Amino acid sequence: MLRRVLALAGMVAVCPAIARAADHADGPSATQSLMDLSGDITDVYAFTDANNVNLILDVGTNATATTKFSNAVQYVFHVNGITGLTDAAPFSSTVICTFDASQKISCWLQNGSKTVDYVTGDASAAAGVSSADGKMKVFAGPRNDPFFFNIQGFRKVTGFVAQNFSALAPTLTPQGCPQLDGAGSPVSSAAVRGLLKSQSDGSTPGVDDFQKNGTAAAPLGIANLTGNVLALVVSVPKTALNDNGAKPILGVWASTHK
Amino acid sequence: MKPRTRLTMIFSLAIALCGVGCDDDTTSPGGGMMDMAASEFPAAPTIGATQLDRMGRAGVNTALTDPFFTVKADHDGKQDAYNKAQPSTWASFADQFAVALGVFDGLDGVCGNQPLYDGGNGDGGAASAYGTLAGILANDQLLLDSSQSSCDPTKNYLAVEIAVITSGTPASCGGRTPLDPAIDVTYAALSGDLAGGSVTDGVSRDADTANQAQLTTFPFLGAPN
Repeated sequence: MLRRVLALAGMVAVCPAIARAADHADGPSATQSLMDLSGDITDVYAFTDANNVNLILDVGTNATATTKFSNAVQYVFHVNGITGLTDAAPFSSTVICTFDASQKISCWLQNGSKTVDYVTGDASAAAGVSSADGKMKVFAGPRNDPFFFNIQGFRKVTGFVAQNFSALAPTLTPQGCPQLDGAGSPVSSAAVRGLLKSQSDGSTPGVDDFQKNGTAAAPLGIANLTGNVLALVVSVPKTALNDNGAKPILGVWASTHK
Repeated sequence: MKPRTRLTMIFSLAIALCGVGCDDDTTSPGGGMMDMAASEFPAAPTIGATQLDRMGRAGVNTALTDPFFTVKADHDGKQDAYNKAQPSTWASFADQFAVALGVFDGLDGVCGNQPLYDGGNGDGGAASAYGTLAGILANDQLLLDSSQSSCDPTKNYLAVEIAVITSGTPASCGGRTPLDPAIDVTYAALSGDLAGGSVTDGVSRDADTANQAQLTTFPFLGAPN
């Protein structure tokens, strides 16, 4: 079935794949418009230190020093604590953050639907702003985009597959895996891995396309990236998210809303 | 570990993760250490009905939602649908992920070595053979073990998931730091090159070294350019 789908796909007009990543500008609804990327998530990070869980939500590819969070968008972390891999009754928490037009932030930490901590103020200084009890700390403002990815190489590979469906179809296993080093393959696996490490023009090595002056957003019409994003950074005591240690495995995702 | 035990753990992981995600559509009882009177704080806003974007693991929507597309409008529609989806519907994306996983499985030159691949499952097609890993990835959350006290900042990404899949010990605490090579870890997992190094984009760290992220001082990310 998959062979048939791919073969048919190969018969239609093939356009170059325009991949976007890691989550930068994925889907037109998220990007809203090229003038407003403030609701478009670029990356999410979650890690611990001795006492805290640190959550980072980056938005806004190509941010500048004057780029602002939207006062019409909610920025939300979702954290689900579980005891282990068989626990189907998570301890669910959210951190909901909003901004006003002057970029004053307000963040609510909720366990379930109950607010257990709250932060408000100007969070743009590196020291951030803390809740009244000092347990939750928030930063919000432009930072260097830490994401690194040779997206030109990814585009080369996805573009190659898209443009060579018909030639690859006979090599597919019944499960849909291309046997690149098998008889009749139009390309070797080594050559495809080489594409992954190359730039658009085929030269190597690949580069971090998300660095300053990078080309990651070229398909969006953005040349020479600033290499910055808008970063929302929240530090919360582990115990507030893992139910005082009873639910130590944390599932973390983030979303933006209007 | 016996194969049956391992399989039980894997399915338990899939079920538990689905439970975690699916439960997030609804509120659950509160509690916890920071238990305070609700009246101390202004009322929290209701989360807006229009979800613009979502993200858990790195690049899931980019790499697994119709990555080899031929019709851009269709591709955009699928990525939008993914971004707008609520947890109770996340599992529905697994079948399309499985098709992409099949293609990525061949990147290291070997088909069938992707973690959790089962070519004899069901009808033997992509959704069956690659469905278990697709289901885990469709439950798009970073998994972080907050009970661990010592974490290698470059070995966190997918550490919890890979430990379960391989029946091994987690390389670190899970989750994701800005220093984790998330894309290369993804390539390694999807191609079956779990030892790493063969399938890579050749970029192992942020090129903006002058303003590189660090994990010792809040807010962790470097100053803007």
